[in-house]
Amino acid sequence: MLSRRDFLRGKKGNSIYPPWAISTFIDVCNRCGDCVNVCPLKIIKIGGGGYPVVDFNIGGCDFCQKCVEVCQGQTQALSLKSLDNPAWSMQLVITDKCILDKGIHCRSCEESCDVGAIIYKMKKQDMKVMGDIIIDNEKCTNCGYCVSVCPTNAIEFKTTER
Amino acid sequence: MKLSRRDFIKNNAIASTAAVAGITIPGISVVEAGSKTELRWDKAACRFCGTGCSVLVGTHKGRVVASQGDPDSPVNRGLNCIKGYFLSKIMYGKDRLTKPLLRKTDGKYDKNGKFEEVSWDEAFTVMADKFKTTLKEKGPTAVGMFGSGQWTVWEGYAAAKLYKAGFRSNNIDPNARHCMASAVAGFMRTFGADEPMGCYDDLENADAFVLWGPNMAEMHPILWSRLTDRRLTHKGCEVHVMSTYKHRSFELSDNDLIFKPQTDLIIANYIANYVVQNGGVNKEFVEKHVNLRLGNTDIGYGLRPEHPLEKKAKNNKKRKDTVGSKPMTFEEYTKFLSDYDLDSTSEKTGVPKENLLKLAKLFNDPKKKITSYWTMGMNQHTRGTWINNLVYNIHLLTGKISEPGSGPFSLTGQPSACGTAREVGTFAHRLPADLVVMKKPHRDFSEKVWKLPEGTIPKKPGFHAVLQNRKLKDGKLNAYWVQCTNNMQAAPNMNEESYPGYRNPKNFIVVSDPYPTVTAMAADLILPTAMWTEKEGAYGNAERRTQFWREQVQAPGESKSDLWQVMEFSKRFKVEEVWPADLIAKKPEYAGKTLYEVLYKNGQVDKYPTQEVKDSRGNVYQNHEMADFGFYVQKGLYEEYRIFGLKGPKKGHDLAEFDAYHKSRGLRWPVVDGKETLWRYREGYDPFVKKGAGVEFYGYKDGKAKIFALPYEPPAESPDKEFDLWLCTGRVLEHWHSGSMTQRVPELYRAVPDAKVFMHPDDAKARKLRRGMKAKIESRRGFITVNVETRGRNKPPKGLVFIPWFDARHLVNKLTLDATCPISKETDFKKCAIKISKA
Ligand code: SF4
Ligand code: SF4
Ligand code: SF4
Ligand code: SF4
Repeated sequence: MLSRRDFLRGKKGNSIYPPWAISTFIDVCNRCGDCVNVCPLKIIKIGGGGYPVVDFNIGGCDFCQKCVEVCQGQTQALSLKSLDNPAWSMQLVITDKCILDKGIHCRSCEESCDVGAIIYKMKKQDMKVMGDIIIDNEKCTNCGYCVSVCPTNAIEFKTTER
Repeated sequence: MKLSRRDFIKNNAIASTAAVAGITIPGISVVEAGSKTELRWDKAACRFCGTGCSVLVGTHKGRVVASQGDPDSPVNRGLNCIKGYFLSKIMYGKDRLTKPLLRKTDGKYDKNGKFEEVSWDEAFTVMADKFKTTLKEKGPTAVGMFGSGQWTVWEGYAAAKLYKAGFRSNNIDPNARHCMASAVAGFMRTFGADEPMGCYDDLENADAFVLWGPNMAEMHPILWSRLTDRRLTHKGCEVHVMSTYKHRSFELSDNDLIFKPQTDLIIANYIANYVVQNGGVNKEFVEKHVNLRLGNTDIGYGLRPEHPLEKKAKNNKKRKDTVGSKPMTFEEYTKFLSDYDLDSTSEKTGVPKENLLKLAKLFNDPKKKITSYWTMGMNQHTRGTWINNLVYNIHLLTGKISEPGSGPFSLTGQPSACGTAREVGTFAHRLPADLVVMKKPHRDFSEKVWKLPEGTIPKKPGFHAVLQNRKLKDGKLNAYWVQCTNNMQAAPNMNEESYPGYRNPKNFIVVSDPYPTVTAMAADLILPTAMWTEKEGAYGNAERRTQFWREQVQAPGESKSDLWQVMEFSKRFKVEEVWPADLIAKKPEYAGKTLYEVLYKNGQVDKYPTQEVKDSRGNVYQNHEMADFGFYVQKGLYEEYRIFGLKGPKKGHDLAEFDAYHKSRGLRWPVVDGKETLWRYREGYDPFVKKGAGVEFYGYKDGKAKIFALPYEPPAESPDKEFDLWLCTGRVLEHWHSGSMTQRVPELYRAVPDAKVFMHPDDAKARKLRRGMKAKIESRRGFITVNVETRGRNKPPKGLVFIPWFDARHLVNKLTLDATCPISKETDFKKCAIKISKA
């Protein structure tokens, strides 16, 4: 079982809080699990230490806010006040698991992006024409939809300070 | 900050698929390591598309654990697409079949029984009994087989021999009928010989590429990257892209031509007209190398004869009328073309004039080297043979053919549509190396090679793919074997024309497959099959390149290769049970023998004794067929097959000897004195062209190709008031054909789990649909429910939708119409009328 400390450090993969979590989420959340049950896309699950976490491997977030609503009856660790802000402030990174650099023709992630934040191009490298993707983090809404479609789990989020 | 609702991936998508391979493969991330990881690497041809990439296959403890693009392959030069990258997982789906399964009730075969595991002996006993009864009661036309452009070369050869010579039935046809038949018929009609003249080296030599429909960026991605390279690095290189909807290949396009379905016929004639009017004709070439023909028209739609369209058509009753033509002069041809002027072409096709003109001017420029590419758009077409002929016309008129960078080139869908289906001749009308059953000298030659009595091979072509399903339904075809293909998911009009035949109580249906596909589940007997590198194999890709691989791993359980199944089954038949007495009387030494002895243990196929299969590094490989039959089966079959190319009546089909292919990354035929041929029909490249001829289309006796004057004729079914949209079907990059392999790779499954309907946002809106909503897609023949996609990789114009066919849970072939090109008998999977509503 992960300790609270591990969770905060993001050990065992980058644990991602549910959307619109307050900065003191880990102190406030009572681990009731209501948001887990209410999410229509079932992307919130119980993570380390019993805290709810979002798993983008299951799918993306539609920003429906149902999890925030249900939290109002509990601790408000997901806060209505945060709704003016983006659900998360994370940087999307394509790790070296992406197979484009191995000369594999793939662009499955591109299409999953609603806002056009993933841009695919062809480039010439080592005398071969290969694919290349660029992420526009300005456009990215952190919806996470691209994560689950990548066949090699190459897309990850880096959590940044609020 | 609500975002629009998405076409979301079902929340438990990964968990819900019953079929994913539940294993992780460590090898993938350490492919470079080689020796350190104890992986044994050997080459193989990719199991999927007709590009024919070579891959290195890494095995560890009897299991394929990794694959990577073969850096030494001239085709892909170390590159692969995402499917090739995950090849190592296709054999390990958790629902892999390992034992024969027979429908039974109370311990006995019952058409309505449940599948039960049986031994191979029981499976073959029941199967042989059904085949024998059928042959006895109804004769050879009541047995049949549906095969595959994914069969290895020797599998197709052995199966064709069993049917055409053994059972004396030409009712064997490959799924390549759904895929390449129009290119075959087109090449045969224009050049008197099948398959393209050029090769992939055209990609590095052309000044311009013209895409007649294919979405190479997704379907032939490796060739696309070579094409992209040329486009980016060769000055003045142009890419012209034609299609009925916008797709990824348009990203590189210098000239977009979105045309109304079926009007590619008009565009082709318009270009020919322009070239004739504007001096682009290479007169010397046309005079020396071309005959002009006026083709018969009004040839019907390959539907059932009682269909109103067939009753109405004039030249559809007799084959000779359908394919008929008569000579014409250049003046007459010029007059014929004059109807296809710019204004009317633009109006009828929907393509703006400037785009048409740009394409026409390209062909009119004598200095430009142009390669035309096409795949299913031109082939799956009720005038598929015609549009093939019309595109060749343009290359012949301009002389842009049979030289580096110039020529019409048919891209292939399947890995061995060329190598097996076409070259071996597993079609209902063909014999190996371009021979046909209709011609007596061709049958005579084949019978001589096969050491058979004269008159063994029947002269009437058998039932082609679509006809097989009709005959099953009508109870005329009763004992039927399907190998290496998923035709219940592929064949058109499934509800009305496929399923009823399989479940017809009169019929016994056998399906050989590694997985319980839609087709297998509709059968009466399922035979578990060794796949890809679980057997020694050979594929021939689109550029006439034949590639071999060795058996890498053992197939699971009791699975056996298609080759083993065919040969083992042949042991169950005595000649007396299948041949009439007068035929046996011509070869009395065959009396009392089994088909196995006559066809395979004939002193020729069994000529090569068992041996160790070894690579140059000393690794030793298994060969189960060799072990079971006691001779080098693959080599024997191949060397017998090779006689057809070396000594047969049709020249230019020479193959190298067996061992040469195990040592090379494939060779492009004709291979003469160990040298492959890159461009056929041109002196200096092709050794079969007479000295001083320059160019010789030697498929025809006079060495000339034929230009056919053929008009536009409408499709079999067009949208109307009720069914108001066009449906076009096709593929996606991540999945291959019916998805029976790629849908079982978890990573590919997660990338694209479900088929969607790609449609124009306005069309969606008009039907109160939004992206991600469920829509009911309905044709006159059935309906399916899929999610709406209004964005993404395919952007259809208003009035047309696209649905891929890989998804067994959303069978788009319930909607498609079984109209075919009346000449090639290939189905038009690209055009039928549907309507869409909220589900
Ligand atoms: S906003 Fe909606 S979709 Fe996103 S995590 Fe919360 S409940 Fe789930
Ligand atoms: S997480 Fe960002 S890049 Fe990925 S699909 Fe969503 S918006 Fe696009
Ligand atoms: S889906 Fe994954 S592997 Fe494919 S291009 Fe995108 S990040 Fe790379
Ligand atoms: S599917 Fe085709 S393009 Fe992809 S790796 Fe295999 S042969 Fe190459």
